[in-house]
Amino acid sequence: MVDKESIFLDVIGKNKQIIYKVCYMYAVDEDHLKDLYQEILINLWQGLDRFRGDAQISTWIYRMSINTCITQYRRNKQNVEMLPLEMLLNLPSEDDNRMESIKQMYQLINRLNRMEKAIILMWLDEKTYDEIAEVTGLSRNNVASRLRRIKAKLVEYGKE
Amino acid sequence: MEKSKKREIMDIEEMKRNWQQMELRMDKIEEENQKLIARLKKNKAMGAKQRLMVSYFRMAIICIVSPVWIFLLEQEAYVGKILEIYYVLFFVALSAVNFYIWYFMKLNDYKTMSVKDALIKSYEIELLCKRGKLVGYILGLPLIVLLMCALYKAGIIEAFTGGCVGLIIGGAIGSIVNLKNKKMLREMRLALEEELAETDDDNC
Repeated sequence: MVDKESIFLDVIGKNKQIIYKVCYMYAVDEDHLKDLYQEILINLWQGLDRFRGDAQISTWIYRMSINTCITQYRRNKQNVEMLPLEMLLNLPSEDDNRMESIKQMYQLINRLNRMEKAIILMWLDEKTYDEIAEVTGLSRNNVASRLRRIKAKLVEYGKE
Repeated sequence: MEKSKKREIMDIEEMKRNWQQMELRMDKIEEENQKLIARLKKNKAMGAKQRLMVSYFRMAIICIVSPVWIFLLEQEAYVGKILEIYYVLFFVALSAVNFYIWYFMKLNDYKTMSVKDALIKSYEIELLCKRGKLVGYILGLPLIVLLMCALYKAGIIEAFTGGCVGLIIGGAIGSIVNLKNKKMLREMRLALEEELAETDDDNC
């Protein structure tokens, strides 16, 4: 019989990029990012026993991670500057253009509110409207209309 | 115009590609995973919500045992039956409020909720806490004034001094706990307000 620790480590190992990206999207600095990550891990550990497999594991992890981030208080709200992005990205140092583009993308997304971030986050990871609706609790149509608005907002922010 | 539109769409799509190719690494965090898992296995690691719940539960227990003090005081100075009853009722009410908040938090498990529900529930918890605090202040301030007057009238300087010390210590502990909780809850609320407003708009 496989123990909880092995299952947990396996789940974390396979989905750590989802957790990182969600934390990254909601964190205001590196310390906050670590707090969020730890909080998500605690919640995943506690919730693992109740995961019945009705949803995809990645959808479940999205739900847990986003809910943890949106209900988590910030220890240091004054610091709303960007994260030291370069330190976290696994990019070759010569890939400056891509780095710049990702930086810009992060800055644009960072201006969205938490629900909008949750929606765009899943859309960027190619989740379907139904999956986004399931995690957020919005209707499919609502997700679609919000996504349209979010994209328009991002384009608008990009022009500024 | 058409060209510009095409460019905008391309930007969003490019954003999507970049996001998917983006690989984040958090080496130090990875190292800490094992330590955290060891603590989780021993049930020693607690989440933020659990810590908040423990704080409310602790307050509820303190409120339950607090009425004992008035009976101890009775041996030194009689403050009157009505004040004694008021004192006991105050702490019973405060304890009930704290227990209710703790129970409400316990009932609401963010792990199984949708994002929208988690936002709404967090907001409700904050409202509940604020109301609980209001009840505490409304009932507590007259009690403190009446109690101090009674002690002063009784003319027992030790009891009056004891009352003052108790007031200061109790006030300090209460203020610290309140400030901590207030900070946590304010952070939650700020995060929720605009999202909730927009969710409501969409539902209309």
